[in-house]
Amino acid sequence: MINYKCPQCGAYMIYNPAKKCLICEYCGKTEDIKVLSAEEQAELLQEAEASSEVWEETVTDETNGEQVMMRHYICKNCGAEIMTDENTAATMCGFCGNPTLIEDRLSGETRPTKVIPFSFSREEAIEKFRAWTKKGKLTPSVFSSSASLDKVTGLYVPYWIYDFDVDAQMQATATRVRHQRKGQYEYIYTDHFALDRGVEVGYERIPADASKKMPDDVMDRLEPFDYKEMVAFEMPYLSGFQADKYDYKGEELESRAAARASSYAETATRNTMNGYATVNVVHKNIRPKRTKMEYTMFPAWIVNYTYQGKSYFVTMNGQTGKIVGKRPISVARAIGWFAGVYAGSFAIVLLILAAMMMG
Amino acid sequence: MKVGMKYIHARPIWLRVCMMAFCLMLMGSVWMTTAWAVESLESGSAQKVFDQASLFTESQAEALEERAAQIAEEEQYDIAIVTTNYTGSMVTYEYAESFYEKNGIGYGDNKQGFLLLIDMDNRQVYIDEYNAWEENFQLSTRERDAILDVIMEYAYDGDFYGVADSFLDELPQYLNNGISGDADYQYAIEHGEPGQERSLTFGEAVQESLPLAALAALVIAGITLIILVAVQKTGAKPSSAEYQKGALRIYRRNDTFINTTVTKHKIETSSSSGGGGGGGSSHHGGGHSGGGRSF
Repeated sequence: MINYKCPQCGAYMIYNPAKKCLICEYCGKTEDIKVLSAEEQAELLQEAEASSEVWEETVTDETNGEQVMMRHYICKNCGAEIMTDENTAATMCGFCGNPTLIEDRLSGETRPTKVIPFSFSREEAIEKFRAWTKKGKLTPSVFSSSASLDKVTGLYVPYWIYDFDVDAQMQATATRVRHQRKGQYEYIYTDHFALDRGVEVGYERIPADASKKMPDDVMDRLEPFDYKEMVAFEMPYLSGFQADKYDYKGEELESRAAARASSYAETATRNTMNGYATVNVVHKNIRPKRTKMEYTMFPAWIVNYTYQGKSYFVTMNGQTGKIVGKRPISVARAIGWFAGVYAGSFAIVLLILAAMMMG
Repeated sequence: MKVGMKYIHARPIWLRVCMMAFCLMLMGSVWMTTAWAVESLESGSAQKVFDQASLFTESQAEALEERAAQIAEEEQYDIAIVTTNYTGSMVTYEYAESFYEKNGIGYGDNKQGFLLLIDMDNRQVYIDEYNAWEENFQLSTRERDAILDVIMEYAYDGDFYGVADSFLDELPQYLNNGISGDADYQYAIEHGEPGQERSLTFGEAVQESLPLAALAALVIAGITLIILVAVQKTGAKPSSAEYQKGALRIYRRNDTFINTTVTKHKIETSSSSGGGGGGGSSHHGGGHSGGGRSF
């Protein structure tokens, strides 16, 4: 259990997305993570004496009945209890906000090779969420004002990213149609073709989220991430955020990414069979070969909110701000829009048709 | 940190009902097209009424025979009134055309004339015309429809004499031999512009447009709602282009020609229209044109 300490004033340092550096919230001192050597980084580290201040307990997860190992720490700053589950790699003291990293879950084979840091702050995330609640013609007018924020969590989600070289073989029958008129008869000529394709195509950095608790579908929709901002992993990026280590090993998720690569390659190959009236694929053999696999962490804001007594959440891409979620639908607004558009278009179409009939 | 909450996702039932109704309305849309073609070919046949299905009494048949012969003489086009119980393998219009040709119906060199077929086999009334590059002998689709409007009223009541009798009343009104323009003039008096859609009053135009406008508005409003509902949900899946590395390398590309198959079909314009009081059809080609309706 570690955290970063300001060399100037001794306060805690957290990662600031706007300044893209480690910053002391107290005195404003900044440290550029990219230029920090390993020794300098180590100097900023403050290690908690583990032994007496850590204890573990096993609790049952209410949602799926699984046994979960919870580890408890004592916050070195305020003495409050910091509770982590078995995957927590970074968290904050719920009481004083003291950023805490669990080193052994970020080292060795659980050390990510790359990270995409958060690109905007919690305040901006809240602003983006607020803007989202105001959009959508069917959104109830009270949604924006009455959806109360419960929790906005900046979470580094563990992802495996894969490179694939795909070899796609595809055979198909295709037809082209010609028409010719001879006197009273029309002749339809159908030319039949046999198509054969062999295609090689590479895909890089196809992501698959390695977190059990994040729904795969939501995480897929959170894409794309901009890989230009992906940097070599350093622990300070996690300071001040939550982070989870992977639940699944890279090999376990490979098939998911391979399926995506295969599907992309299949579509690409099918698209080379152009210029025909019909194409019927009779045989295909698509073999994806993984060439690279990396463990990474990508940023996401999880915005929990309550609307009309119920809890919901949306997931926001912590780099691009893309929101995956669904705004509630106001039945009254939907009926209003339908009736309004119906009445308006009915009147216009009626006038146009009547005018046409009258010549 | 546990994320145990769920998204708002259930699509309300009313919305599903709206969507379903919208789809049904789309499928129920009716397509109407009409087209016609004309072409031509001595004196009218001796017999005018061929009551094979015995729909007329003897006196009725005689009356019709007399009137038809009179009109044919005066107007210089032949008239045949045919009834049948059995058309064999032919459909109504084929039977009418075939009957016309086999029984020597037609006036003058052009064999111009009209055949009214009451087909009890297929329960259709069909008007076949043979002639007629001369406009005077040509019924426009609208004129034929106007005649059918009148005579079908009798057919629906099972009064087949009424059908034939009213046909003999109506037909000369639309066709006036030799005096070009008269038919149109007659038509214009009763219905407005000749040979085309008469101009309607605004009220009538609005009334006729109602169903189509209602359908179109439903489509527009439905699509709008679907889009609006879709917008409530954000977060589209990324495209494959995000992850493709370099260009596609196609190392084998064979497009081998195998063979050619040929089908032929006779060019004909046929169409059908539905709705209201029953179906109708019109068929053209080979010098015949016509149209009919079911009863």
